Amino acid sequence: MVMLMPNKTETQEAFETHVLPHMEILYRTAWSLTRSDSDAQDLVQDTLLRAYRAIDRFDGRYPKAWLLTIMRNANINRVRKKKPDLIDNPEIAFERSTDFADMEDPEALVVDPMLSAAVEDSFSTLPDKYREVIELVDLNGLSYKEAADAIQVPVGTIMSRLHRGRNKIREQLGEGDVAAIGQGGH
Amino acid sequence: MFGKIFSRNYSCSDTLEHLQSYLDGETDSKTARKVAAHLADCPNCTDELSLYQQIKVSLRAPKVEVDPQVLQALNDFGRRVAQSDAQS
Ligand SMILES: [Zn+2]
Repeated sequence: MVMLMPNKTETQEAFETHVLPHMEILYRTAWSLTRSDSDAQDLVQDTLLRAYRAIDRFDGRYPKAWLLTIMRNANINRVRKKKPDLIDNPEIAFERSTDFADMEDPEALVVDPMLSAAVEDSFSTLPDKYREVIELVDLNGLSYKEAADAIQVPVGTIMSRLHRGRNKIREQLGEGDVAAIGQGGH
Repeated sequence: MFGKIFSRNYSCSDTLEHLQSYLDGETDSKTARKVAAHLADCPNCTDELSLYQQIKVSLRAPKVEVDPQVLQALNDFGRRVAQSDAQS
């Protein structure tokens, strides 16, 4: 029998659909975790290989969260191999710093390297009306009232756009291990 | 999971409803106290709060610069991984 066209397999197609579009987030996250170009590239490659082996078991929901969980495991493996400089590992430094005494002072909170690129990415794809309000409140530090005055809408509108916009970002973070990392993971 | 066992005041859904305003310091003090009381006993809502905190701080953090050539190399690698299946 002659194969006329080399058909894409399901696995290949799933990989192209769920993995390849997220390359930039993977790289940004890897860089946040490793603080090194070459280590970041190695970590992304390791993540891609692991994702490829696991993709038949992936249900297609929250691909970013799924990929980042894989990256997190790959990174744990990498750090174990490298040792013993645990203090220099941003994720461990992050986990040590997570303390709810910091709650009152958001400036004192450390960015979780596992989440930051995914958050930025989701933010950049939000509709303008949500992005605008998040920018005013979260980036520029305005109160709801100040934001309302700035764009001439009621405070209730600021609140609902802001909360909905953040909820959309939150959804992308999924329900799994990545979402749990904010609490030091497990 | 989302039990009410520990919260005579606010349930999980009450808390989640006010969580973002609480995080932004935009609730009145009575609501803030009730949210805080619930959070003290509820790990699920505390997890949620920390995720929303991360959304806030991540957006403020400086972005990692990405070298387009590096990204290109990784995309090529990714495509080779995808194709390895077709050839095996
Ligand atoms: Zn709760």
